[in-house]
Amino acid sequence: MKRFLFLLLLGFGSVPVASASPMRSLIAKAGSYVQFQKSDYIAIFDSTKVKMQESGLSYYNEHQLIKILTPAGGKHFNVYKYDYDPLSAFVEIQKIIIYYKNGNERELTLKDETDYPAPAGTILWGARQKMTEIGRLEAGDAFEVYVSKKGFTYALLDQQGDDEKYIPPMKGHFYDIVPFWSDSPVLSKVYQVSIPNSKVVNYQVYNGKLDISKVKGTESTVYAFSLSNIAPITPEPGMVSLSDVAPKLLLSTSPDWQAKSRWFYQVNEDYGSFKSTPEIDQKVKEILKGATSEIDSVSKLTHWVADELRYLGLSMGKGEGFTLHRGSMNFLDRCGVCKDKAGMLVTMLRSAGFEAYPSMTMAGSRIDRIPADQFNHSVTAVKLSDGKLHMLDPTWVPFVREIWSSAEQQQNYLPGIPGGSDLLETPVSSPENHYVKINATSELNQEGTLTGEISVTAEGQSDASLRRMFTGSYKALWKNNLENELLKIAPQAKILNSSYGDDPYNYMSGPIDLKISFVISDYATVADQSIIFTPLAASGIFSAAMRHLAADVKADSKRFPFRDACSRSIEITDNTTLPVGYKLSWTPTISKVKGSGATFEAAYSFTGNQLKLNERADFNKRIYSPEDWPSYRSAVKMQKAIAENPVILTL
Amino acid sequence: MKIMQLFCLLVFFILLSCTNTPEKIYPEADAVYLNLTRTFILNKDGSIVNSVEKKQKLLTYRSFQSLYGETRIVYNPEFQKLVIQEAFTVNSQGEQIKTPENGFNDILPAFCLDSKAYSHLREMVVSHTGIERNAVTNCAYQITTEAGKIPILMGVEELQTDCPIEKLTIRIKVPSGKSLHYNLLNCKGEPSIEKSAEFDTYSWIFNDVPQRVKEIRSASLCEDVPTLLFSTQENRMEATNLIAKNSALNYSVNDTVKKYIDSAIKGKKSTAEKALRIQQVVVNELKTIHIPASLIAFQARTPEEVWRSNSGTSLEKAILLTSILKSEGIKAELSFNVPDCCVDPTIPFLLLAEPVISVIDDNGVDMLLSSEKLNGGKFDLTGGNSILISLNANQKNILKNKATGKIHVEGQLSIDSKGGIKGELNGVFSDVFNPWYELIRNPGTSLKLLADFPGFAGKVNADRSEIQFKVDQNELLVKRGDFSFIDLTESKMGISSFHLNPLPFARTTQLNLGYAISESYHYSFKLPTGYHLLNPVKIELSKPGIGAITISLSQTGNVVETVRRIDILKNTISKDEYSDFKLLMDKWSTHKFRQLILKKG
Repeated sequence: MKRFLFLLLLGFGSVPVASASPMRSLIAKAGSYVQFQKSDYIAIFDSTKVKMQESGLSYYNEHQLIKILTPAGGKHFNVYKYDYDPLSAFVEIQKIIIYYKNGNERELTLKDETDYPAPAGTILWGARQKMTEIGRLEAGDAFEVYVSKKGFTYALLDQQGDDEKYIPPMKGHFYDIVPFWSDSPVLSKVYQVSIPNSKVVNYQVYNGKLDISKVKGTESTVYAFSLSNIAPITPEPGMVSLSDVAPKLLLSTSPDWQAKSRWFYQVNEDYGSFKSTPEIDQKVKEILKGATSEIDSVSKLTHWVADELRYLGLSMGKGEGFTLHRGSMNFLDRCGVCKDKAGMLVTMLRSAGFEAYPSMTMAGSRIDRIPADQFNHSVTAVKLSDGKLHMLDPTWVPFVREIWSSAEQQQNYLPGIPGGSDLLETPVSSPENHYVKINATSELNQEGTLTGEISVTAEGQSDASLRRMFTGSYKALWKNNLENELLKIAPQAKILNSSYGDDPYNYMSGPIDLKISFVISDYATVADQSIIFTPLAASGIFSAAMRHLAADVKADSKRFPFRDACSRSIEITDNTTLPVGYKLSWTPTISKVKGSGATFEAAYSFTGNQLKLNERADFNKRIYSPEDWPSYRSAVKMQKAIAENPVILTL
Repeated sequence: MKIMQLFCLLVFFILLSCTNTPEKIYPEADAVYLNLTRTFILNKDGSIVNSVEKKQKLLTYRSFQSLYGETRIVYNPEFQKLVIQEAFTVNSQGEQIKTPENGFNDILPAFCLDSKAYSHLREMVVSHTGIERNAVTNCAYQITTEAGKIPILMGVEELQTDCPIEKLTIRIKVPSGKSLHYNLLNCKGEPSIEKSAEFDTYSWIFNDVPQRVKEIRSASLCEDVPTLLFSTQENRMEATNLIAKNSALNYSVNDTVKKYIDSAIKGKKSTAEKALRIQQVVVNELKTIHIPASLIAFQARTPEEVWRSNSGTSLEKAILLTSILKSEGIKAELSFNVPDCCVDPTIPFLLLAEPVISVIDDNGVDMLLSSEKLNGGKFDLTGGNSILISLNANQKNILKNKATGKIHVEGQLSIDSKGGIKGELNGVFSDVFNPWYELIRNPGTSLKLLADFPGFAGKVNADRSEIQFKVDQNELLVKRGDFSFIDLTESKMGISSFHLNPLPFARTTQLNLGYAISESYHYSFKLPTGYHLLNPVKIELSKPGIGAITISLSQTGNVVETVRRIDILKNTISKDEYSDFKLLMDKWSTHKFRQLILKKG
């Protein structure tokens, strides 16, 4: 069956509708919900045939046969949709043949296709969708779909002629990223590409093996890649992107990353993305007034762009995509997506005399070595007096006390520089750069009432996590949001005073410093010569800055790398004065943790009538390997154990 | 000298009179509408014009970064015409920045996703450019609805937004002699009425409207939100006719549908079983498209079209469900669930209506079914105070309920010397918390209504369900040194499902629970030899008119009795009642009072 499928798919362009019986046979043999109990549908085959031309223009033909296994699968496919950007791609859902289990068939053609503007949030680039309504499908029904497409994902250059606009911006080149994974079973997947013999193609299969064939013709070479019986990957909590661990194929005719880097530099220079204007120059002078150093100047400009250019993508028309909007447009509109914010910062840095360049990166997953465009984000690089390029991200640092967001540590990037650059990776940011320090001083009386003050201060990404309760919320709720942090732990608390400083928006003035003075009746159980309570600072309060506490730590081991939001260090100190005469009777068992993922140590001490708790944890990075899991997990479990288990003091 | 003094005084007064009125400041707000005007015009030819003019000052970073940067206008190009009259920003330096051409983008509204039938609907996104703190965005637009599409002028206008409004104007124009019915909810104000030969114009002007703070479980429109309801409908019939004229209401289904449903309900005996299985097909197998009914002029495709497309609006799915039920010989009627402030027949209830299907089961009991979700019972749909308006000519109120959610659990458990806990608990789940439909849908299955204890249904009817829980667990008791701890189990269906922790110290809006609540848990624990209760508690707290709690942890011999009971008498807690309500809830939520601590020796 496998060989039959493969041959069928390679020739699918010529499969006549009349010869539908092979499809019926495939549908019958494919299985049902009995064999695929966790799936609502399966792809019996999924094939893509690409023909690249000298110019880089590529024609795609996609052909799939989907079998519905459950009503939910039928509901999922009541319509068949395809997203496209009319500036750079042309798509047709050419034909859909529906094979009902009762033997009936229905064919939908181009006349059944609807074209309309796609729903959009903050990126309003004129994306569209094609849709063909399939209608009701029931378990056992199947449909075969033919889609043809030409073009690419992004538009860049000012092209002429009918098909010219579909030629990729890096003219004469082709790339593709082909996932060989799926969230539903795929019995057979084939990807075939025909590339002119004049081109040198680099390809690599990652995270698995594919069957590969190569047939050289007189004008072009046909490469075919296939894989059978693709089962959905069972995800692990907190795992990295599937694209980092699941089988995928990368192909590119671009020789290396240097070429891509040079091209990215040149295309934006040619467009004039970073040309300043008198208004921009004036604003730069205004912003830099009082700047104390080179890095202070860079910081002031980065944060101005971060805060003052809101994230909103308006289309510049032809060229939208990899082209960064001109500084003049961004400055006037005061908006842009990541690439436009990056471009605005390049413009302003250059206006201030810095050497600055745009860069491309991939937030959320790894970029592999084959120079296919694995980018979803754009940032800025600035060369400082140390002669090195430093990364800046004006999109990810609004109200973050960093110029490069450490939520993007261990992330690949490619600066667009005149001499070209290889693919680079941002370094790990030390946990101390993202400290959270919680300190409580309180007194517990004989009735179990706790009176005192708790404070938290934080830096870097941890500062941003706490600050978000203000900057991400209605101003009218700021006070409530802070007080709720305590009320979540002790709903009966009375708050004597709370403070979030002068203005949480004024984030560059110093690390966040939150304070709450309180009286909490019934906080501790005091009875039968015993006091039972959890030190407030250790109770999980201010957990927004400690995302590791929400990690699922049930699994003993990990198959895949996993991630946190950022590296961080935690310091918790709690000092509780108790009624005299008590001695420490029981505390949770605390073990020291030291490993590649995290370290943890904590200790209770009791002197006189003072109970002290010191807790310290370091979570070392953002992307962790499975080997880091034991220490990461133990550190989280230790911190939770202290939060969930009270101490017991007895007379 | 005197002349000089007089001159200075004169200059002073002249200067004073020239000074602008001091600008109002809003330290608690992200933005402020300096002016917001909404105009509704019913023209003589029956066309309707709806226009908006707004001028909004942005005060915080968040206001322009994520709250108010765009104006999104949904319309139906099939019979509505949108004209943007102006869109510009005046920045903090006073410079005017016009929204550029690429700042106007027509997109598909997200709620139309996956529907070919409604892929013609549009949302115009006007992106305000040049915005920053202290910038003022200006936008004015007008939607004209073709004559004959919606014969009634109607509106439900909330008179408060999430930022303050310095001047709010609502203007309604109807042809001279045409009656306009209106009702102001939760605020006061009389319109000025201007009559001309062509139109009668009603205008309400509200100054310095405070912002409406987003708070959890804010009360519903009828109870708390300042709202203007208006319509030109003379009676309910006029409104229901908008629905009734749908050709979809022939309630016919074809053989394909009938065959599928016959197979789906095979083996189901009672009307209730059949109806709930059919509801399951319509709810689970067809996508719901959440299009506001007014946007498509209250029209619906036929049941067959809806079935064929495997998706439908709320109304379409309700008609389909009704049709299928009827085709199976089940008495079903399409009705509308609306807030009880819509009792007046001239109130535009259609704008607030949620279609539901009423079915009479074999015992003559009313069932209410949603076409969008598998509701647990009829109260699950109607909430606290709502009425049902049927589609028939009489249009009488079918139901008005004041529901209560009740859970009462009691039983005996014994703790063995190793910490294992065994026993049986008997629960009664009534009214809103009665999982009646769930029990009919899944007969014989174990329901997780109380922690992870398997629950088995006993006597079950429309009013209450008796559930028996088997407890046999080793993890409930946690040992810490010489002490053992047991958290007292409560149903997640009850008040804990409201997520009322944390409750802030004060609210600016009423708190809407939806229904009154009565919940109690009475457990007896037989202790192993040598153990005693460390933390006896006795709390009885009552707040007249609001509710009461009782918490008691006590020991007699080797038996510990625990009683936790909460009664909240009202479905809506007013701002004045809130602090008493919080007191009750805080005691109820305090961990110390929901835990047994046992000590050996």
